[in-house]
Amino acid sequence: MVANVLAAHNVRVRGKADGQPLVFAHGFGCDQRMWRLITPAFADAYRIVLFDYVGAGGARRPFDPKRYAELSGYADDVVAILRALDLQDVIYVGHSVSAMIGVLAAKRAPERFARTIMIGPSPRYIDDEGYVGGFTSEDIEELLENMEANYLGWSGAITPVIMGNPDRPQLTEELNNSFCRMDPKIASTFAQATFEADNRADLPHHHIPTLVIQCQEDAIAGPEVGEYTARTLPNAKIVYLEATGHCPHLSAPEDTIRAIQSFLT
Amino acid sequence: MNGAELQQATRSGIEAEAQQFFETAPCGYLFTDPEGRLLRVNSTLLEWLGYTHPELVDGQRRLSDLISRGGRIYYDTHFTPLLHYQGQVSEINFNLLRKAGSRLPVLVSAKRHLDEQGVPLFHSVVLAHFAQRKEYETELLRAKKQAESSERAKSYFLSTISHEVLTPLNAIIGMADLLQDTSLNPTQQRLQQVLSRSAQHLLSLFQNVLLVAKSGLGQLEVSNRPFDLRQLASTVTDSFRYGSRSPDVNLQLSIDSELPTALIGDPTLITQLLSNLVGNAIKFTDRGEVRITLEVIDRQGTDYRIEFSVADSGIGIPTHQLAKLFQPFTQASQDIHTRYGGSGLGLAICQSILERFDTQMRVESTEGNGSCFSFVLVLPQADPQTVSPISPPGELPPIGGGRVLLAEDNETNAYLTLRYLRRWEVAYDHVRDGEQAVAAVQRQSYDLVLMDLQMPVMDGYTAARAIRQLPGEVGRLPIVAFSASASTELSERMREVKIDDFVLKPFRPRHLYAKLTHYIASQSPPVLPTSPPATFPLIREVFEDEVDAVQGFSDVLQRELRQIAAELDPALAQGDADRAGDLKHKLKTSLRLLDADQLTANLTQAVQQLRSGTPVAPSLRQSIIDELHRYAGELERTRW
Repeated sequence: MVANVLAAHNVRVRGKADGQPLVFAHGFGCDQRMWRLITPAFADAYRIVLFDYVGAGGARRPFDPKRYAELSGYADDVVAILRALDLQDVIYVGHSVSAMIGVLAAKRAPERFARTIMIGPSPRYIDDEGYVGGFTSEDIEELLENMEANYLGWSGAITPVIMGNPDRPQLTEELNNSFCRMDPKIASTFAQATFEADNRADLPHHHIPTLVIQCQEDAIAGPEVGEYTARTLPNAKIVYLEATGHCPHLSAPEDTIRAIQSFLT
Repeated sequence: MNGAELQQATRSGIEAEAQQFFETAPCGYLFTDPEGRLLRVNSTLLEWLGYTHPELVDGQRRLSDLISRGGRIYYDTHFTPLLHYQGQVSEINFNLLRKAGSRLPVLVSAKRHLDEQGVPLFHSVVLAHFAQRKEYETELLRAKKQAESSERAKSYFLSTISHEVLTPLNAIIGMADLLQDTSLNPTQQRLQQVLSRSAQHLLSLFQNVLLVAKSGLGQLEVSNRPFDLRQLASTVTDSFRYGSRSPDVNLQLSIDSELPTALIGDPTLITQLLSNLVGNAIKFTDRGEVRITLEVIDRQGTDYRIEFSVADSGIGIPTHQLAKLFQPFTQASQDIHTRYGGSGLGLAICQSILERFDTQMRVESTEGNGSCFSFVLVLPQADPQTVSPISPPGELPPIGGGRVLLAEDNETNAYLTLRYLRRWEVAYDHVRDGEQAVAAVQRQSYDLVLMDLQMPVMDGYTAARAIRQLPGEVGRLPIVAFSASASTELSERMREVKIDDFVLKPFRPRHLYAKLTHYIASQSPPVLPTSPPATFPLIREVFEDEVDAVQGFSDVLQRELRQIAAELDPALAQGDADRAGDLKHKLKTSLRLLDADQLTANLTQAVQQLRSGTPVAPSLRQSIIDELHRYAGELERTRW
């Protein structure tokens, strides 16, 4: 069902047609547009593959709560995309939760993966004995509540005044929704799958050469977590960026590009 | 003061006042650097949070540090990307942490400020106090969830009950059907007819209920396939003509001569629409006529706008009751139910079906003078060759061949199925669970497995999956499922375990017959035209069912398969690993398009054996070559 899979995940292929495939997997919260500042730098040399997970961006895959209750469901989708395009020798770039989705996908189809690049990875978000993930179950509960509250849809009455665009209300309307919009049911399932996952035991089996990109002051996946990931993976190195936060590909695209390039050459 | 001084004084006065506004406005205002570190915070926000300005603006502290940890994830995964992506974010709800530890719900809006070169300078952030509205929103959300869950519970209940009813109903209809073929005296014949008709009536009622439930669950799916609308309309009309209880009602069908034979749409749903309208019209008309009209309003390219209308000369509907017509389980008045019966579902169904087609029902009615219900659908024209003629009525001739395994635990359904298999002279074995089915196919060779999906010990999905994993020919055994779902397409689950096809429960004998003749490679070719099998779905999809293109491609593919078979045979026999490898590579895309997984696996195995120096067993070689020819033959026979 080649065409199906590609449409279901809004798969976009660009760059050098016969280049080595560089697959970008977005994280929880947004969609493939996350990568727009990064991809142009690789378009000349690589075949760039972008996609949206179920419920994100332009994905049209029907949502199946059982399938997507665990990260393996998302990994199956990644594998399906690789198979549909028959990609070999793949460099997989996964942001945030997509780092672990990549580990699971590589477990299913190891022959297709050449390298993995993980931006802000975390094999487990919730603290455990002898392990600091950074969060407690209560924090995750609060996140879910927060997401719910933010999907109610405010009236928008205050918005034009604040943004100074009273003459272009359609702009505010558009901006309010497009980028991070996800059906609340799908979003909360994805959030639970993400934040309740524990992939620590999978790391030692991921032998594919891997780069971990770690930011300063990343509240979601702090340095200890990045270091744990790099240390536990049998074939990984870690690089620290000056950038702060969880999304260096948005806040410091040049640094992120340089880190990826130096790993690939 | 002169004019200039006055202007100056005014400006500085306003400036000072603006400062004051900034500090004491009923909103929190703050500025951060592009990294989120706080640069300036207004008094209002400081007061809300209980901090002093130096405590917050210390060169280190960020806006995100003020947010609770759960909210922090949302901040990093949604708020920040949004702010970068679109330059501004509006009204995201967070809980801020006060110095004293308590939480302050706020709505946060932010904007990035860049210089002319696009270098980020700072962010401005507005925070609106939100406690009261938050309470209100939470309450609203709770109420919304409650309403949704009770609505869903209702739909699930309906869906479950309908399924439960459909199974015994299957038995009743089937038995009544069989009864017809025994020697009956005239009284018994009449009784049989009543039994049959009532059961059919009950069936259509529950199909309606199932549709309502499904649309309540958001599961109503619309299919698009070629069908003959003229035929459909006549069939619906005829079914009422012969089943009508009011002999004084004259049923008229008029079809626009411009209406093409073949259109693309969902025949099941359109049948449902027409049946419900005609059924209502007849019910509310004691004498006179019911006129069913199909009229082409206009066409654009291949799209036909068709008006369907059903007009009667019945009792009509009072104006004030028109609005209630489309609510489920609601009739215009209690009196209607008492006099005419009915569930009040028909029009609600029509309404939800039409909503899926983005159109609606029109009603014109005068009390005492009849009603006219009409709707407009836009249907594209189809290639007439793609439409299967409806099987002629009458006795189905024996199939006389093949061997079928029936896996079914429900005794009545099994009894019925076996009864038909005997009548059509098809050999069979019967097992009662999936485990026995998997064992049986390994003992005995079959042409087809008829598999119930819900069975004890091992269900039909698991059994199908297990059969698919068996090596050799048996792994490719056609499997036809008995499905109680009202869907007209293979479900995702069935596709996953590679079930080939399905028959709806309760099955219509003709439908089962069509499946049997399709899958049993019978000695005598099937006598009846069967519905076009959806063979080679991938190829159809790639060519988007464009008949010419796909036909051309199929010709190329047949030549390729036969030619490669001719070359592959000696290569395998002589142990030429490289040649066989090349040919396998050439076939790669074609085999994927044919969904020929088993053949691909066999071929891979053969090539691997050759590469490791092992000769390929003659049986494996023969099966590969035979399969290639079989696919070529199947392509040749396929009507695209």
